[in-house]
Amino acid sequence: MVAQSITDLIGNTPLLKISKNVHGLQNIELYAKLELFNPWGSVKDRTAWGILQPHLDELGTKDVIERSSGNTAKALQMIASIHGSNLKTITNRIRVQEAKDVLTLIGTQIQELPGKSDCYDPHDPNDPVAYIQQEIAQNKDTYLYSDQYFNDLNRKIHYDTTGKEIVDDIGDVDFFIGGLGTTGSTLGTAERIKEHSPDVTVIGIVAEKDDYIPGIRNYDEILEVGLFNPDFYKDIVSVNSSDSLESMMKLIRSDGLLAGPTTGASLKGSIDYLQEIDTTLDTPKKAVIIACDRVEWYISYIKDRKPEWFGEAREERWDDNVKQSASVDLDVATISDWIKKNSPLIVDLRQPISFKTVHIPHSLNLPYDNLDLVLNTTNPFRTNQKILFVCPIGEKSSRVANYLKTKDVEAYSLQGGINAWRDQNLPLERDV
Amino acid sequence: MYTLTPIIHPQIHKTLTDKEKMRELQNAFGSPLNLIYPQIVTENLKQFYEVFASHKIKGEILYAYKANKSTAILKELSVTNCKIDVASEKELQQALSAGFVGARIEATGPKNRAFMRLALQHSAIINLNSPSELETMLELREELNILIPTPVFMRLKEFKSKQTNVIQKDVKFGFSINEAKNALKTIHTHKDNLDFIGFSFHLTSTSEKERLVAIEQSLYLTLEAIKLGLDPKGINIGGGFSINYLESSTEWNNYVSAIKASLLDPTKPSMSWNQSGLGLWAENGKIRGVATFSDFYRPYNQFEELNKVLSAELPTFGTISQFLQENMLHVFIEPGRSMLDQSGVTLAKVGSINTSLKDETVIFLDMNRSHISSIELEFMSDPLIIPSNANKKTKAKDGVFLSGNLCLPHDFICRRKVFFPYSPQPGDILAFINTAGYFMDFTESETIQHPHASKLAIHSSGWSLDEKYEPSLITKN
Repeated sequence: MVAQSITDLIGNTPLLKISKNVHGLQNIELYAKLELFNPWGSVKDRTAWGILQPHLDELGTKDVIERSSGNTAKALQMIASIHGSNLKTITNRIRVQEAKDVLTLIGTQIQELPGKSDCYDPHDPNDPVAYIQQEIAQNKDTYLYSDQYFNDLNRKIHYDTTGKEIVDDIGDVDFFIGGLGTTGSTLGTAERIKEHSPDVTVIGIVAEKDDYIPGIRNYDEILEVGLFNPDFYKDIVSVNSSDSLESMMKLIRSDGLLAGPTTGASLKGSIDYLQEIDTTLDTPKKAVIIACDRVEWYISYIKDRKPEWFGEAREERWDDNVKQSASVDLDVATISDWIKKNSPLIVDLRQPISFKTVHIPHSLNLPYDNLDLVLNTTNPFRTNQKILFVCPIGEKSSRVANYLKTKDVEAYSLQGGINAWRDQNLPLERDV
Repeated sequence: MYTLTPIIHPQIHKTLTDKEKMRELQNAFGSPLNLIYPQIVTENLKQFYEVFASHKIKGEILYAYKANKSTAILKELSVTNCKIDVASEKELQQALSAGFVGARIEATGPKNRAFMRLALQHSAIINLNSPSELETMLELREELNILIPTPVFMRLKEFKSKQTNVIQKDVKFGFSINEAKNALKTIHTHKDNLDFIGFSFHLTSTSEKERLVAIEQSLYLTLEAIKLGLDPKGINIGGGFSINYLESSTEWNNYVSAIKASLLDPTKPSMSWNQSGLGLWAENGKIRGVATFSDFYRPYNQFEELNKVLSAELPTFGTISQFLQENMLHVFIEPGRSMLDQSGVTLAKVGSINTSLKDETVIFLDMNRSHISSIELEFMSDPLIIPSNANKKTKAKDGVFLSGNLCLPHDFICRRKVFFPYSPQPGDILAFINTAGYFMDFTESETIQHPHASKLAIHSSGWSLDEKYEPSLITKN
């Protein structure tokens, strides 16, 4: 197969039948629509293409503007990029560092919104839409506003493609379960399914209110989304991030589907909703969820919530068994005389930027993090030279000196660190 | 039933359970009556210091006096290590007479000549608001022949980060980056007369990201100041540490959802007076607008928030507390609301109960909105009922609205619906918890010649008039 343009590869994704040991349902077959097979990796590739396709001739002269924190931004940027434009995203929702890094890498301009004001000013609109409109008004004719939360093309592309593909592949659908973000993909897909299977039960998945799941909103936030229509859903199910991640891992490990936390949330919500219904059924039924994107985007998010999943056996470190003794600590009151008498090598353990600003005369800079690396492997110091270690408050320097003493180095630490030195009005110099 | 249960400090809980005493005080001093717990302020102060200690950095606390006019709190803090942030001539005079010396006082905000003069004469720290204020201050020093050096902070209004591009709202206080760089030179040429303490900022938003960007900017400029030959003592990261008023996130979430749901579905009972929506409204089935209440529930408190800021990593500088430590810089904070967390209660007498045209229950209290409102923000925690003996405690059927005692339609104490466990009756007292920070007297007025509310200081050995309180470092139980 040869594609003429990357956009030709959007859509036509397969369905995967999820195994019973993942969902545990006896009478319901659960299918995942593999939207992570799209060229840029998510269901939003369709959304972006659906919205921008009618405006391709305007790209090149106009940049795209949107409030998106992830997949939509990525897809909009890619389409804009191949037509000679860029995306500017105005958002306060980028909470996953990888998403920000990838967007920066591919050329998206990210503008963060100011936080909610605590000093209440009744005249302040405090609304992201207001900022976008200001930006557009100030730069007339330079922006194409894709407006994914209100743009009906977002719904339509999923009606035209996602929903149609599902019906073509498996015919009747009894349950359709979608994560609610802009609600466009769930709405459009479900509308198409409904035409074919009028009795389909449509369920929306949202995050619990104090929680955060990428790509979907919580119930209160959903009420502010333009495309959201509460009457369309039989039920709205809340899930939390921890359970969603557990479900995601089950799907990854059992079925080999490398899907992300949003898919985990849809899976978890489906099982919660379908479990009881499943026991009352005597004929087989079919349910469909959307596997929106892949897991690799969300490593920092997952690490934050499930650090134990990344636990590795810890290697032995130089400071594991160092006995702390005050015998290496030198009093700042008599330090000048001691230096004069012993001419030590003075090693400052602070960061270079701090060392550059101000330091003890004749000292050299060996940042603690670097020394830490070295000490894990070897001892770089000679044994016939007195060394005075200096850190901010005399803690790290004492640890290093105590350790080096066990290696027969004549190591000392400045008690109270450079703060004590300064408080004693001892001379400091700076690199200009 | 949508309740918003307040968090109550055990000491406050103990006083409020003595119903006889509360009635006696209310009868003696009228309604509303404010109770201040100065020793709880000291507890908060200690907790802030503990955060600094856990990061092994030197932290200095400047209590933002504007948050409450209480003299007892000033006197209590005068015997601690903390400094004070005053914003007017009168506040400065009060601080001096409560026992703060000039070196422990910082003058902030717009300053008239009298305020500036007195601050200079006492060698208080001047937090400079603009290049023109720097000029005026230098002229005044000369005109009045002030010979002692003046310590100064320079307030910033422009923040740029190498990593994060945040839209900045317009700001009327402070120096832009260029103005700051020029002012550093001016300060340097007056080195013998001016003592540059450092840069300061005060954000109005509670966004952690913005605070980090502002700290990053302050540190860059601090390094420039050092390069110029100045010797800044630290950075002042301002106040705005948010507090948590409520016991339960579930109650809070349910309440906010109920407001929105009632706007979307007019067949549901209204949650706000006249379905005014507390700043929100429904438009084509969607919620629009900006709420006239702040988040009364927060998942973490002011001390955890400070801890998060100090633990944060900045590009170039690394961990903030580590960088401050390495460069021998102090961190100054200016907490107001967060210092006063749990240190005040407002008591109000229930006057009468009316049924509105649309069949809502309206309870009239002997107080008005100016006694509990900062600007126009709604007070979002439920008052406790201190019932009179006549109250039969019949179960409340529905929520009620709490009206003030002004003959004005807008005068509500709670424009939101309040759900009580049983109906308050005339003669009962309602106790609003945690009002000391900005709610109690920030915009209090004597409109329609209702007098200002009285203030009492409640402490471990009894009570006194607020201004008669005498601090002691020995705690008696």
